[in-house]
Amino acid sequence: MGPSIYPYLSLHLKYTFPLIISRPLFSVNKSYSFLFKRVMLPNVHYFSTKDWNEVYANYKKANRESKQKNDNDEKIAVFARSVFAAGTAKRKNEIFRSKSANEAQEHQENYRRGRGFKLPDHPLTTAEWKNLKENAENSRRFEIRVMNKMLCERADINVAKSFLAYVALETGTVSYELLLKYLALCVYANRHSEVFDVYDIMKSRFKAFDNAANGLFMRGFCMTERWKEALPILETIKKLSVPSPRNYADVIDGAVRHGDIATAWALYNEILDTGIIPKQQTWQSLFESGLSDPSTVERLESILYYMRDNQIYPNESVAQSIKAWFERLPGDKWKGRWSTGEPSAVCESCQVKLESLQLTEEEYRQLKDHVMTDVIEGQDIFSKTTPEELELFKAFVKQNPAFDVVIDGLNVANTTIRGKQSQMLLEVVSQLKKQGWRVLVLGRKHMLQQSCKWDQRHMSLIQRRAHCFFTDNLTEDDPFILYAALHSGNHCVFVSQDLMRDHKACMPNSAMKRLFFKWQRGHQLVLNTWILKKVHFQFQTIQDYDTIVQTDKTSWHIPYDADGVDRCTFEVPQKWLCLTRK
Amino acid sequence: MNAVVANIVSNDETTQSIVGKTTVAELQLQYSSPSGKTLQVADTNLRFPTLSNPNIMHYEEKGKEEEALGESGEEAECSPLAATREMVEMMRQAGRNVPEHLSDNDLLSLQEHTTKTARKKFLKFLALKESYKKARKQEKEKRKSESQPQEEEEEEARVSLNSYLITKRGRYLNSGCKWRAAQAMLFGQSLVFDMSYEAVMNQRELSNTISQLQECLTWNKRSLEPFHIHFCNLQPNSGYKRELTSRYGDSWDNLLITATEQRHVDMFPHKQLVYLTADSPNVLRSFDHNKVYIVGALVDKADQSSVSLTNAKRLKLDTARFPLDHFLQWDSGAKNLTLDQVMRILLTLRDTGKWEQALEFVPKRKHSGFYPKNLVEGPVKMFTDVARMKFKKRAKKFTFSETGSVRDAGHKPLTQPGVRNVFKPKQFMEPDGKAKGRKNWGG
Repeated sequence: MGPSIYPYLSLHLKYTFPLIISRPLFSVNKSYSFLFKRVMLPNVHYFSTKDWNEVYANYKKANRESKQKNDNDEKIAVFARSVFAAGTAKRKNEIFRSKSANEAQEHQENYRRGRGFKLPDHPLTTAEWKNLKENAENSRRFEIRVMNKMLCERADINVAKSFLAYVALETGTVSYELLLKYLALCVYANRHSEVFDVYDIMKSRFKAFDNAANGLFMRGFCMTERWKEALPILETIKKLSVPSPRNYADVIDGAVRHGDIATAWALYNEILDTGIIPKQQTWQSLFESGLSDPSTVERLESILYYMRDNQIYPNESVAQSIKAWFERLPGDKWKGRWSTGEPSAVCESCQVKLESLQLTEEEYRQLKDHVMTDVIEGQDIFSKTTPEELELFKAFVKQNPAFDVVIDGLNVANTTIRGKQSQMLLEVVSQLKKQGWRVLVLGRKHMLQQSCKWDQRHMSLIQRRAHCFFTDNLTEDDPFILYAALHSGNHCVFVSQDLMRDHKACMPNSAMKRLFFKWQRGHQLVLNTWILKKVHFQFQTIQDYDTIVQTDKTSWHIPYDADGVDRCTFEVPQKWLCLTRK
Repeated sequence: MNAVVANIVSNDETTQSIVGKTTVAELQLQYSSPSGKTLQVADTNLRFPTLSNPNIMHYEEKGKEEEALGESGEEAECSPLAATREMVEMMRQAGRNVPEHLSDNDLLSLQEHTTKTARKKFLKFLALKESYKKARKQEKEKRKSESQPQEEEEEEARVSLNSYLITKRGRYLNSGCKWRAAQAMLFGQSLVFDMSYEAVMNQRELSNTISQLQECLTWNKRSLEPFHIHFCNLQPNSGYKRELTSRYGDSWDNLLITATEQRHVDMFPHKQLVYLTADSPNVLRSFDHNKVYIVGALVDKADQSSVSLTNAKRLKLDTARFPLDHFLQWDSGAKNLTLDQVMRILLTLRDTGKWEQALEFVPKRKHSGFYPKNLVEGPVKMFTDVARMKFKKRAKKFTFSETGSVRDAGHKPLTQPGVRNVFKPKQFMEPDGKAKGRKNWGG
């Protein structure tokens, strides 16, 4: 009944209280803004990225023009891309940082660090080094600082050698720390014979090495014919601690390079057994080994399934070697193409439908239960709410029929920096209401008190147009939003700019965290606002396909991290590798 | 054949005497090979130190030493403890921040840390502790060597001090303090430390808590009119009790405080209790001499949000926080204070009734000074949002032009001055819009 009556109610109100409705403090001129007409909801239709780029360009142009007229014109960055798209957070951060002009300071600091001592570009004699030390501003820890500097600048190895000879003559010995740094220098410069020399010297002088030295030796050895000597070193590391993925990557790389594929796979299985996440480089070398050895098809496919199960994305170079491997497969003819995900749930290049982002009934139930037990109740129910309030809320959710949209009232209200918070909330609620959706607004009780931010006339209108639940002022309202949205079923979305990371972290295991993230990507409606003379807002599009490694036997679709894009953990890549069998 | 073997053995003995060591494997090699070769092996063995370090002769000394060390440790190699110790030693040589000496207990607790980062942090902590200890020791020695002649002079001065005033010190003063504490226990205002947070702290935090409590007791003892201190919820076999008894020893029973297993809610009337917690939405405007204030005995170094507020909510107690951002220019950062700071603030506030004096005990590094007096006087002014906003805008311009620093405060979000509720009736209460950060002053 509700939705069918409310439009008339608001219509009615409009005529009876024209002052309230038609004269908002900051008016959003609907006929003026074409964006406004196209405020859209998920699964209806979309603003494509192309359109959006046009809008953005227009906006920038307009902004530039107005800026020339008026220097103090407000600047608001518009983020067209989804908050879950790779690189958005970085870009946002950069815009804010360029605004606050901190860069100048940073630059200065870097400059200061780089100054001071200058390394010679050719080997010096002992006397010359001695001279250099005496002339240095600060002779404390001179040796270490010089060596660090060489390491930073990847200095010529002969300079380092002459320096070590000077230190040996001067102090009678060369410390472990200096040798270690020299070793690092040799390894980075790929000077194999020097690595062996250092190994012999250090082996004879010290009984054991720390992990850093062990790692460097392994790395040095794996580049050469003596790669097998890295295996016992790996064993010694294992005795005291768990080797790092980097160590494994080096050894596997060495094994593959010298054709011992069995060892490489044995080591790879060991990584999986210990529960470490392998390095990208490991996968790359394994796929490259597969080029020559056709017997490992199943094992290499298992890597792809591993990525799928753990929602890991390969980087660009791995994606390239995967593509090369598929195209070289004997028998089936595979064709690889690079594509980008379009919001149409269909692969751009091969028109195969991508996996849906919807959760199954069982997953939904699980997620709902976990949100209740781990996020809302947690270890101590009093930390986020009180038992009485929770009961009230449960009863409220049960009484009311399923909602279509749940709004994070405070978050939405605070997206504006102009005008009243309540005004903004009212605009959003009305827009959603117009679509005929059943809206729930969650807020805190202080919103119901007349103040300069919360106009009670707006609040009463909101309460008429939507269902409302106001929690106590000390209660965290986000978990309630999640629960209400999950309780209402698969069609229900929630509006918030909050990425809910702290609530995701409450989930008991990584599988549940991934499930939560999947649901969030499919059901979170993010509001973009910007000021262009007036306040505008628009909802970001919701993807309806899952960004994960996927296959349907005749094709593989692999999302990968493109080079130069900094992806945060709460973002998903936008580039795809599409592989199809002919 | 016998002669040959004898020859080998003798040969071997000489080798041993020269090089200092020969491994069993080498011996076996010698026995199995014909005599001519044996000599050769022995020969190479003789030259071993020079061979491995062909270039730099001075390695020899150190190298032998290291090897000798290694030899003695070889038997212990199987035990992971010795191996860990060796690893730590190598890390120290590599310039990492690890301690020089490790006790067996330290090693055991090092192994309890499962992740690499945890181990690294633990070692760093030990190294820091060691360096403090060393510095203190050095300072002590320095002072000792410097101050000996001075002390004698002081001694003379003390003897020659001729006055009609009888000097009282030491034990006498102490008994005076005790007298006051005893009076406080009979008639004084109660102050409760809630000792129910053992579960949320680790061992290190717990021992820090006890140190802070000790300091609290000292400040209380020295004040002219001490509080009657209660340690509530102190279970007999809890970590709190264990630490306290290990620190105080026998004198624990003679302390003039009330330590009980009872809950504070059972001991005092519910209306009298006020829980002091930094997360509270309410601000403590003035000190009430009839209330019983509760402070949570808690140190939270890890990120835990509103532990004590949660507890107060559960017990349905009134809560309050200090008006830190009403008097101090607080940019950002947590507003949690240590227990001894809270104690000194409360003592001063009770004695003087002035927040300006009491809040002197908030660490200076946390804020950039008090608001100017004309604004704070008649605190009504400062307790409004608008007043603070205006002040902040003015202050910002000032700092910018004065220091000429690049850091432009203008781009930082304004710290929204909270509490518009102080001089308003209760229905206008509104929690601060700003995330207050962690505000547990152990309370």
